[in-house]
Amino acid sequence: MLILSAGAAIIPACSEDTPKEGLRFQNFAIDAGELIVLGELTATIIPTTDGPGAREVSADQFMLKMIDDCYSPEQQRKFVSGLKSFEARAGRGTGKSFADLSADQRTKLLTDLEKEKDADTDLSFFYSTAKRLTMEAYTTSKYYLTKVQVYELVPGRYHGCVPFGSVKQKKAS
Amino acid sequence: MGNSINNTYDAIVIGSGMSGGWAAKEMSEKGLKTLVLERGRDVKHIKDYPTTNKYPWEFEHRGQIPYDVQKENPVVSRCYAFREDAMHFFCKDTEHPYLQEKPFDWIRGYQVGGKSLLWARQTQRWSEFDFSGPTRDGFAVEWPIHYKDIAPWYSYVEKFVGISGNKDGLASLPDGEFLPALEMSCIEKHFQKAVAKNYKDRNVIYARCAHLTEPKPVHIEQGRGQCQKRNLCQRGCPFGGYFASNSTTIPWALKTGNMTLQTNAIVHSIIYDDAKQKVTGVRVIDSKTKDVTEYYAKVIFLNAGAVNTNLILLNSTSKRFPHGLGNDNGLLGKYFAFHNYRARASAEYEGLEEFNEDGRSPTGGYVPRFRNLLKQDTDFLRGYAISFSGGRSLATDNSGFGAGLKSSLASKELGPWHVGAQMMGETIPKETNSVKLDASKKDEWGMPLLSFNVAYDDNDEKMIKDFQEQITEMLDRAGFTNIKTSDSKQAPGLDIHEMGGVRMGKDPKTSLLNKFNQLHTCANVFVTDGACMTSTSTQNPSLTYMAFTARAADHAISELKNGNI
Repeated sequence: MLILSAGAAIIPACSEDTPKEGLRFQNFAIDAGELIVLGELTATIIPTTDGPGAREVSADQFMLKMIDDCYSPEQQRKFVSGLKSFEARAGRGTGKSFADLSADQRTKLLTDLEKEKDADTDLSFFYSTAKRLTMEAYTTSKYYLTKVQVYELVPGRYHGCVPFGSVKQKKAS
Repeated sequence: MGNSINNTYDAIVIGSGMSGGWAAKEMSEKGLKTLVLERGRDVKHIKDYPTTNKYPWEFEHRGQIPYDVQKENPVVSRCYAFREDAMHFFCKDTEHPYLQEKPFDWIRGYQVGGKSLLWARQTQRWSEFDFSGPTRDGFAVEWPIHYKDIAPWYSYVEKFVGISGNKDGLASLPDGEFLPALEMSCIEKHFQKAVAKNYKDRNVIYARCAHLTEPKPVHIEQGRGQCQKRNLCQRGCPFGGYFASNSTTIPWALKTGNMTLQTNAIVHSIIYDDAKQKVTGVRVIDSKTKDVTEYYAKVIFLNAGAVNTNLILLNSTSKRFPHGLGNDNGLLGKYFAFHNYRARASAEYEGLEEFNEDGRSPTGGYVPRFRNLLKQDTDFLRGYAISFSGGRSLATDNSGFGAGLKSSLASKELGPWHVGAQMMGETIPKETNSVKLDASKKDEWGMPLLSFNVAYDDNDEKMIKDFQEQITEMLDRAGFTNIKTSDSKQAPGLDIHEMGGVRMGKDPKTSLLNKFNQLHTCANVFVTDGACMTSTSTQNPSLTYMAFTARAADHAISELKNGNI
């Protein structure tokens, strides 16, 4: 359970006066700037294009809920620590938060992290966890399961062997 | 103590799950005033299936169990079906503790319907090869019945339950009363053909399952409809597409007007009246108030689930039976057994690329036992059945990020066929595999804690190795690639097929129950759940429990009429 509303995650970037220690979840805390970073990171992983992306399905809120409820204290620690390392890496040579990086700068950073994803560091744990949860938020969202890959609650039929092209559930409606 | 007149019935059924529902149906249908005692809460068909119509995005954690719940409940968290959509139908470790001299994952569903809400719905008959197993191979004791004794009761139960399947004509897996089978998938058909070509002694069939493919009038009368291929059965089915006590036997029994359902009723013990020299009723603890009430009846059916049935009998002590009801030979709780599900295999197939399944099938391929069937042909006793199924998933590339990743997640391309196979091995009942009551520890209702001393043995290890070798060869010969085998090393119990402890047999010196599931020494007490099993064979056991129950109820009714009990 989030103690503060997960709506806190959509505080605009300019809210300098938000108390940094004020954003606590049940099992861990991150500050207002970091919440913005998470939102920007999810939107970079699955961007809004001609269709909704991570931002529209509130992937950041889902991520925080999952970390808070379904991850161990050690995983939560690594996630928060990795988030700080992520920000430190973003600032290296730019002096900026990830949220303020240009599109090219973001691409370069995430490209580097993709290469490091098997490294045993809090940073790589953070990045791979954030990516996995962003993808989960998106691919289990109502939008995705009704418009992209259609999920049928009640198929009402089973055919064991049909030509691939005629499989109804694989067509977007 | 309650009022004895108001608390008197013709029959008492302890448990409302798979077999208890049948005992209730059979006896109330034949006019017996029947009290059904359920230790858990009521779960009404449809009304009490809170998640049944939820879409994936409507689950807070998309199916996952929160960390704290897993940490507090490590046993039930190991069960494949303990997920966010069905967790309310499972008993939590913390609420109902037990003891493990050796690791045993005891998975329970304490509610009306019990685990019949959660079962895998596989319904293969036993054959004479199974009933004659102990005698031929020299283990356990001789079964007091043969296939021919139970066959008509299989038919009786199958017609009411609704079983989909093909007539396969195999002696090792007798045909039954089937609704039409669904079509096998391309990959299952491929494996079926390849196995038939490569092996004289092995068959792949489409597993029979308790799903209404084409409901008959009796199923419509039950209020059930056609299976809609949702494969969300563990949530409870709003269509009644699969068999559960909740949708079928319990409402049917209630409709007769002869059944009374008492929930939150924990049976403390069965009452043996030393003066009358017979069982007269049961002693019940109200799980909410902890008040104790006695209920009386001429006949008692024990269907509490195999382990709890053992517990109740062990806890039913009297001057005549100081070591538990019917336990003159000291074998109550012993010769406990289960199924060996430890080993699996996975593989891929590069062909059939232009085909896929459409919709979701509630069942899959099944290889009936072939090892040691006609004669002993390995260095271990008995054998295993194999489940086999497969499918294709979307070929998404999860590398990278940004618009490229997003477009990959929208791809309609499919990957190769993936298949999985799992063994279902017979374990040999042994005196050393047992359950007993702890001498001092009790639960919050004052019931002694049940303690498990159950383990695998060398026979199981040899069987695992043989399965891994044989399935690898079968898949290899069928052209599969990337074949991998694994051994989960899971503890006994996670199969959720607990059996024995109150076994049937011919001789009261070596068994507890006779050929009609009556205690040898208390003819008005019947045990027809998994506790009665003399051996385990390789089939999912629920269908056999149901057939035993219907047969035993028929006997009980005629013995009552004849004044014998």
